[in-house]
Amino acid sequence: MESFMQNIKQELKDTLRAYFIVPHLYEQGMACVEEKLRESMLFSRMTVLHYRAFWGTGNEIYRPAAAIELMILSLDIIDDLQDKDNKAMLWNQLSPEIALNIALGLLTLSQQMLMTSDFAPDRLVAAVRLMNEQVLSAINGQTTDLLNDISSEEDYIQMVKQKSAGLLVTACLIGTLLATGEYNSEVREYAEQLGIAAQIKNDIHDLVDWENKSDFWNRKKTLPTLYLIHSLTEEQKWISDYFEERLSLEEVVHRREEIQRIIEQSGTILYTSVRMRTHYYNYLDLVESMVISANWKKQILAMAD
Amino acid sequence: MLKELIQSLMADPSSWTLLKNGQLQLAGISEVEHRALIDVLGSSEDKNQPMRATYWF
Repeated sequence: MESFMQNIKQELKDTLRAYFIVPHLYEQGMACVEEKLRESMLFSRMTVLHYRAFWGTGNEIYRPAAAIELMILSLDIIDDLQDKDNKAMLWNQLSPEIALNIALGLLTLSQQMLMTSDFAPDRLVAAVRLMNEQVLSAINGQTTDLLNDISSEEDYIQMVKQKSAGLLVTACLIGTLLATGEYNSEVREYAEQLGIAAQIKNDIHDLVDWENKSDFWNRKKTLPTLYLIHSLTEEQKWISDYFEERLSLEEVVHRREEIQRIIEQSGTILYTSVRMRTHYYNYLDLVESMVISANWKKQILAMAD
Repeated sequence: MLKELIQSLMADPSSWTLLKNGQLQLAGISEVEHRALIDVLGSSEDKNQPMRATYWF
């Protein structure tokens, strides 16, 4: 895995040096990349892993994998700018104008990197098309998320498929597509299930993260909050009034312990944990049914640990 | 249906044990949901406050 990191980092460094000509853009762009490299690199690892699992050989895959990581980084920066959170991240310490400019540069660069990778033209066109379609889908999902325009669990799952799960699907599919030249709907299905499970896990965490970005205080509609609202008794309807903005934060903030008790007693965490685990089991079952070697299955399954 | 089932389980926590022991028949949820429910309830056994527990995969 050491060579994985070195290869990805080298691809990113070379590309930024070639296209980010203005010194400040290169320096700050690289600083953002360096910060990203300290994370798990799940997406680029998934691209390389799927390329190898589907009989792809050689080092050409590192450039598309690095492109995937740039796409994710650019969308992360834009998401943080829009949500005004994750203040500790480097890009949130830059001026928003510069951070946005870097994000736009990285997003465009991700497509440029993919397009100039060393693969047959027909595979590259299909890969770039897939990436562009997913970015557009994520922008649609992000709009729904920003507007908090979610009134049912179906709306929530649709938004997750467009945003977070869709990005994981793209990382996996680009690996298989470049290896085989074909679009693999089975890979799409299991990657989507893993992405949904991971998003539900985040949303459970964000509901009970009272000190930072609690989705409750932000009135954010997610699977846990939708269940909570659905489960309220008559005496607890003030919570749905808060979510519908009929009550202000000041009117409910002192009732935190009561809110926590209602969350516990309603089964919100239990319900969403079961939903999360159901999607995770779907992922396990679908990977197990794939016609690839046991070793690759094991490695793909290990990515969810 | 899973939603209603969870709500009835929360209303009667004694049914948790029956469910874990296979003594409670569940209708209207899929096999994978059943498996996930048993697993999540099982993972709460060693916690003092099961309703506060968070279950990761």
